[in-house]
Amino acid sequence: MKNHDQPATAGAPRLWWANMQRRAVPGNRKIWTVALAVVGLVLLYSLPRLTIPLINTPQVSFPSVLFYPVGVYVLLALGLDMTVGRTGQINLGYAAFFAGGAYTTALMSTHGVSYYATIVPAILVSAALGLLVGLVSLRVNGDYFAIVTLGVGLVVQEIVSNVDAFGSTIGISSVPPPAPIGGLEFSVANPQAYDWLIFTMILAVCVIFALLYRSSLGRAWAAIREDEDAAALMGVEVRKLKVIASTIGAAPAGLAGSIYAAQVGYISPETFGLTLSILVLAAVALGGKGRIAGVVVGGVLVGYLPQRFLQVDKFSTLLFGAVLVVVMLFFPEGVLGSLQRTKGPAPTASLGARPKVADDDALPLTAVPPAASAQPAAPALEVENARVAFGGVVALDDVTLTVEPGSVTSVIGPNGAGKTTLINAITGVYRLNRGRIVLDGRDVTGTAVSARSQGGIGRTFQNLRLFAGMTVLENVLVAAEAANSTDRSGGGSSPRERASELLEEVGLAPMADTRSDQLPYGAQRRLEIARALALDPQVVLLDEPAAGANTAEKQELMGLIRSIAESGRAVLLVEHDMPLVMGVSTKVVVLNFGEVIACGTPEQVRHDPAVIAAYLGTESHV
Amino acid sequence: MRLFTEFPSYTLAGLLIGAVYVFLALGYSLVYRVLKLVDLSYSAALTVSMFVALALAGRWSPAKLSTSGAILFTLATVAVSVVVCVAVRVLLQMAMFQPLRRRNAPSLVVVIASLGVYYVLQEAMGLWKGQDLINYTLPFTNSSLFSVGGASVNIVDLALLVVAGAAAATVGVWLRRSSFGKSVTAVAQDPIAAQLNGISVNVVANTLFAVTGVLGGLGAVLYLFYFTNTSYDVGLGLAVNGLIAALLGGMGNVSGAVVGSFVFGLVESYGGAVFGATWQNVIGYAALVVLLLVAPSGLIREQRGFARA
Repeated sequence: MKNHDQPATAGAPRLWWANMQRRAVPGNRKIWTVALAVVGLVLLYSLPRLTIPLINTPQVSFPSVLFYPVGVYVLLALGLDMTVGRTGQINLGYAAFFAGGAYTTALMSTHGVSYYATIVPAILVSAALGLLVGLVSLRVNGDYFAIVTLGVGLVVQEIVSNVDAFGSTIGISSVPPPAPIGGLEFSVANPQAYDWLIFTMILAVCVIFALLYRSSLGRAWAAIREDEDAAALMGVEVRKLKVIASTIGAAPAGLAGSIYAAQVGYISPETFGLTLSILVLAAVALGGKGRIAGVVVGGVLVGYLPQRFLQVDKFSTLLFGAVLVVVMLFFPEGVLGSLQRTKGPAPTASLGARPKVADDDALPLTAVPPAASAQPAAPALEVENARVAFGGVVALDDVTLTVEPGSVTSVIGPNGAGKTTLINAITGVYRLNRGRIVLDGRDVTGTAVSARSQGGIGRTFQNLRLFAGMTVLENVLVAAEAANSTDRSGGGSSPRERASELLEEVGLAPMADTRSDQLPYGAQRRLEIARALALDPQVVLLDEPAAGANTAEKQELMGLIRSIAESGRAVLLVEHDMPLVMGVSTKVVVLNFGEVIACGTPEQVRHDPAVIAAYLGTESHV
Repeated sequence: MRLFTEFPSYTLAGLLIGAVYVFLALGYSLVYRVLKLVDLSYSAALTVSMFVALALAGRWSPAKLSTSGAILFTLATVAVSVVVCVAVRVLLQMAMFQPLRRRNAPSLVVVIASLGVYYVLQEAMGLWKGQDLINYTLPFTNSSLFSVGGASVNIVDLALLVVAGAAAATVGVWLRRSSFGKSVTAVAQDPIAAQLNGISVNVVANTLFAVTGVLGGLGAVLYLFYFTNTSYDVGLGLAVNGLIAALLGGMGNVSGAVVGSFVFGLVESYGGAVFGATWQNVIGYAALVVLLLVAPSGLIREQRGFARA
């Protein structure tokens, strides 16, 4: 970043930065990038031929070290990172996937199949194992999942070492090498050939994964990693995507196992033990999970360093352990992760631009005429006789309410009255013990959280639940893309366009590329609203959006809520702030101890004696 | 079939190995319950204790001791082993887990860091006494006490079962009845709220790590007495089996750890009898995977509050 040759205008420095980063890539810079890539590739592919004393390995020849462990570890780490770094699941049995690929190739090619014909089956076998583990991850979460994968890894290892078809403890020997490619011999005498092959595989995996991570799939994975529950509420199909990640993530292990079997010519069960799984996981953590470059660096470090310093063999594992501790204590995001973090953009202290909402009262969200003046429309959301109980505690009892398009329905009530429970019941986080939730005429009572959010319910959270590690734009994009995956979204605009539009509307466009956890509090609240709107919902649930806001911000918020309703959406507002509620609501529902005690216009509710007794105190202060 | 002809022997063997797992599973489970972290270094602390006990035995050649001398030496071995294990555990908590907790480190970071400690301790032991299997000479004669249906129970067997049961019961009662136990529960449910109510998470953590140190020290000595050999890398298998036992029962509660340990020990022992010793491990692990698919929170469920929104 060396752009200080242009003076920044005093008013909007952030804006200028953001634009520079997104658009202006000078032509000659592009050429340099290409040139650098070419030089890098040439260097990489000539590395096996180089003999530099400083980097040479003392006991095993340098080219074979480059293949195993270095190349193989990098491939494995890339695959493992898809679950560890992207969906946030720790896998302690990744070596099982590697074994799947290696045994497939070994068995097939010792039965006369050409090596190249075994690659795809090897990948498929590993992916199938990944699919199984992915299905397991739907049942068990977090640290439990880690220990289950540990069990899976050990089971696979024990099976291959006990079944004769897999050569039991002896393993499978005389696996033939790959046939020559255009005169390039694969043999012990020519170890460079394997290096070139595995480099090509690594590059292919890197490119494919980079594209995946940049796609909507990658963003949805990141959302799952940051906050699984919030992701589901933003329409991300968490379960399906986790299984997909586990399946695709196992594929590089199949590829690595396949070429490994062909190179060493002999495989035995002890290679595929817990130690390998742990080393690969350490590589991911050391380099920096969730970053392709970080993972590659980690794989190289864990694979190469012990080989380079093998003279201190007796101490190597001890040193390895010490390095793990030190790196985790001082660089918890890994070597590369911590480097990038310190260079990253400084936390944004203040807002570059104020939201436009307050002065522009008409939001160009979707042009639906305001329904308030017309005769009452069919309700967008109906809650009928809803009951939610936790054990003996009844949090909601026989709650019935409707929310009409183009109107704002507020739910008020003392703390513990069941307001947030109501929102959780509507979004599907809690199951109803009795009653129905009807969304736009469809009964959604039994459906999954993501199905409801895709079906038209957007929400914000009382305590913010943004995807912290993702940028402002990405936060909104995840929801926009989840909505786009259904054919419900009306407008022809792309998710990216819609996301930018929404950011513009809530005044966050200049900070599109800032990490969401670096936004000031008020801006984070507005980002949550933009994210909820990105689902293009018919019903918007706002859970205490004014919490912690100052008077000016409350004014803006009021305008924003009004314009959301005016765009034809139904708004359900849960809020403690009476002036805001009374100022913006079409209808107010009062909850107390889980029951509706009053319902009507703000004026009616304000004078309802039951409400005054239960909530507002003896005299109304609004 | 061997399982039926020698059922009592296989049952006893299963219970005994289960009793060894109790010490491990309790350690993992207690730390997990409160601090929500998987501490892979625990079994390496046991290895350290075992090696110190080995060194003691090597120095005072216990074979030549009188009866009272043997009793004294045994008690001294237990005491030293416990002290060493407690020291390792508390030191680790203060030097590593506490800073990690303060930084809100995600589980992957904690797992990898504890793995690093595991390797450091294991390799240090390997450097100290070599990487071969080391035999341990009992300071007393392990004579048979009585037999149940053909399965002979000797001193060490009885001690292992009694101490495992007593240790688990003590920890269970202590957590349930004492005011410290209430602090532990408070920290387990909401560390921030606990702190706001005057409970120091660090004190709770230190105490818990010390308690796991006592458990580990006892477990290490009893392991040595029972198997009469060890090696620098026993920790890996112990960690895997201890974690699995804890998970089988349901991570985070004492009765779960005990039930899980004995169930795991018995499944291994019976499974080995039916399918042959080589399949012993697979059966245990497979049982775990199947069980968790059916009951994701283990055999005995931890009492928890509402699911978070």
